[in-house]
Amino acid sequence: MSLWKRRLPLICTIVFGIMGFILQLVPAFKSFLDIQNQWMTILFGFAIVIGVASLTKYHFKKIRQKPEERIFSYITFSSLIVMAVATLFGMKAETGIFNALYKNLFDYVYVPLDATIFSLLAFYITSAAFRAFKASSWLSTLLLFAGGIVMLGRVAFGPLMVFGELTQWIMSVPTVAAMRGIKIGIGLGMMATSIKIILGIERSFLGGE
Amino acid sequence: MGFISTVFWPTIAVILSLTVYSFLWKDNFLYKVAEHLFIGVTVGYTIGSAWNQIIIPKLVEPVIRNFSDGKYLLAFWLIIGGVLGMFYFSRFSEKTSWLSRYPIAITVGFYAGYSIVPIWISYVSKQFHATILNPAGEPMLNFKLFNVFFSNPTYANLLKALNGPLIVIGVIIVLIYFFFSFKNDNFIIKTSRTPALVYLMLGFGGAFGYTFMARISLFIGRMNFIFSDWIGLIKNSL
Repeated sequence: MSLWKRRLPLICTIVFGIMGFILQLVPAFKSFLDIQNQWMTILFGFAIVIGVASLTKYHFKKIRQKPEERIFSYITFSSLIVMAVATLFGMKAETGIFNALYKNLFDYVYVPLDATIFSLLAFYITSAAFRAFKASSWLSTLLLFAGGIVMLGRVAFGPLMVFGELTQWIMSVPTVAAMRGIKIGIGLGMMATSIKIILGIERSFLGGE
Repeated sequence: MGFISTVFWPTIAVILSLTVYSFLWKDNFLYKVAEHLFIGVTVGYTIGSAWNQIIIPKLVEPVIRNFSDGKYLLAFWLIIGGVLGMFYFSRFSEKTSWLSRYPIAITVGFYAGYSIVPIWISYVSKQFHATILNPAGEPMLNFKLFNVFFSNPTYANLLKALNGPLIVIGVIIVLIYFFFSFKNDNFIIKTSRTPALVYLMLGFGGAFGYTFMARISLFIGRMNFIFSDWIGLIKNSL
């Protein structure tokens, strides 16, 4: 186990883990906690480099191995560069060509694409539901029943308002109970994982040698 | 110039929306163009906002300010953060990529320790608290509400009396179901399995319906933009 490549990063994890736990627990360290939060945000700010590095590697590989699809990689790189330049110089500016470009790219390219891709999921959910919601057993029928009631209840009007009331009951009683049980389980799991990380037992985030 | 700002960009938005929806027919060239454009624009936006909202206001400006105020220790601490952050750039080279383990190790370690208490409070303690007391501070297992129902037997009073106990029982049996998912002959664990599944199926169904309607409202929003806003814009411009 190399000292610089593995042991020291692991020591950093343990030291900063204990530091984070103590800073959160002891109110006297509030001012240092504020500084440390700012410090961690700086690290977060640079983390985008990992995303850019992976994207660049992937597309360079794709350009080499699949020449017929290289046009898409060029589109990705050129849109990345244009948007990055527009955001870098136009985000804080109040006027000017970069500000106009940033605003238009954000409002008429980024937002519509984001909303449309997410709305596309409605069709996939429907297709998945069509396959999953088969009334094969009484428990899956219950899933179908609850899903159908809630869908109708969200747009209920006139005599269909009974679905609205049923939806409210489903969302505030069985769904709350089920989700609360799941949430408690998730919370205990996350705490156990955090403790494993601080103790150096869980170290998969450091990658392979 | 006026045409560009009023008609050109909204038309681009409409074309991009329709291009994405063309995937519903089949995977095609135009959809792939829109998909890759979205990836590029998203990453570009993230780079720009990281620079403008984090690097400049949280690193560059505070370092200059602290140096001019004579707070050298604080300035150096922030510079160390910046240098460690720059270690991420080592990912571009195979030889030096191990350096990026330092910022990753520090971030993972710090937030692992930092989040234990908030996780306990929001995921565990508050959830148990809400299972014992309702938001009004009354106990969830309030059997007096059954007396109210028996003295005035209406549907609303029945629901009021039943809802609290139903939530408490639901939380307990769902927890039992998850924690004792292995084969077990214990009477309580065995008999609580089916009611727990009933709760989970109703819960997942409800969550599904809710998510589905949220996506549908996004779809309606896009259609509204195309058939109401954009068509109106074109009609007024022509």
